[in-house]
Amino acid sequence: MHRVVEYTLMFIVLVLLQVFLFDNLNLSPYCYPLVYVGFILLLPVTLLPAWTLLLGFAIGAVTDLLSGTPGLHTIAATATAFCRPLFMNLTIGKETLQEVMLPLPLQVGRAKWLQYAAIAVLFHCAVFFLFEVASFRFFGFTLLRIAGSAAATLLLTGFFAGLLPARMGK
Amino acid sequence: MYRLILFFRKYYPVLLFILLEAAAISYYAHATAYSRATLLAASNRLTAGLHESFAATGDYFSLRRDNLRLLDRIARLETEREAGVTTADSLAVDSLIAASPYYFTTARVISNSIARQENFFVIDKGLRNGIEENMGVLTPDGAVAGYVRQCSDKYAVCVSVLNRAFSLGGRFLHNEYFGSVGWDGIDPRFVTLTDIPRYAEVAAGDTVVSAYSLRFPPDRFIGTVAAVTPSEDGTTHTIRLKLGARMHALSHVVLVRFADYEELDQLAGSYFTDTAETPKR
Repeated sequence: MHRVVEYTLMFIVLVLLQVFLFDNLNLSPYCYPLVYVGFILLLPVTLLPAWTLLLGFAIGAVTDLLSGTPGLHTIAATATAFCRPLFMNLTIGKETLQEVMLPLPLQVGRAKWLQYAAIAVLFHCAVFFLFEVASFRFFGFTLLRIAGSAAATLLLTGFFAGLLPARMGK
Repeated sequence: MYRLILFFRKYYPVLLFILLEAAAISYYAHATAYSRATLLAASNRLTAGLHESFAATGDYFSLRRDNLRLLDRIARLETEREAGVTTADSLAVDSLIAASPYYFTTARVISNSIARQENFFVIDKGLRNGIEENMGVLTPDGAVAGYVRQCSDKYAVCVSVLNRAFSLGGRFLHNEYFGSVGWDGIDPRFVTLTDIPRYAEVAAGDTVVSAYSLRFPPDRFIGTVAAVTPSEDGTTHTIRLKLGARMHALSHVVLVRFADYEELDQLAGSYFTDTAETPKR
């Protein structure tokens, strides 16, 4: 285990941002960013799958608890954490993954990182909003919500990943 | 046995995933609007302080607008008082003057959401300030905004009009046809009025007010008709209402308690759709 302090801070900052800022922004139903997913995306590449899962579950559960949603964030975060290795293999590629520690834009290349983040964020938002409506009525509306919220989340996650100090990836 | 251990070593992330996800989904599947409000009330003990300071900052930016609206409201109430008429229904007025069964109070909204399918808001008054479950919540200019679902000592969680579990009787101001008002979860500016028969004359711009509600006084503004379409079976209208309450800019609210709520709810609650005694689906 390494960078425990940094990741703990990231966990806290993202959850607080989600609960106190983005949950209260109320921009529009088509734009509900789920920024805490950034924590799952940026976990170390070599982290054991079980840890990734447990940490994903944890950040979802804490967000749920603080914002009073009954398990929605947990469902989406656990699913995203589980599928993360698949997304990384598909977009960043196994060779690159063996050379880097963290899936950061600087380390894996901007284009590849963007692909990886886009797929993961889209997946996360799709799980979240489909479970939220729990029906295929108004499917077009749900698709729009997924697309809009995923775009906002991706933008914010990209910004956040850019803010991380470069030394973190070394 | 050895094979079993090998199997677990190979597939434990999958098993762990299934376990965690099943736990989360089963919790979500069993959650009702009531348990959500309970959860929100509990988490509110932790987060209310911070939410409140954010709300206090936000208040400064809406002071001017809120003041104007309050002045407007005062002017209207003064006019009504002078005229001796409070509502369109003269019968209701007489009984109100005799002994009003309604008690009004105000509170500040400290957290609110409109972007979800099940929206709630939290106010800064609770049991200590005389807030009770099932009080109706109105905006300062008198439009229906929600009702109180759960109280702690200092705070209360309210179900927003923008919650798919919210339902309220609504009728037209100009005739006696009534139906049921609810939110379909799509646009926070509109709600839906159903069960209005096809032979009822409805036009865009008509006013819809609360009716036959235990939580709200009669004739409280809900919204105005935006569009009328026939329902799927063709026997009733499905009416889109422009919501009177501006839910995205809710900073202060007026709460109303109906003195006979408990009695009526126990007697008749199970027959209606918008009470606590209504059988939960």
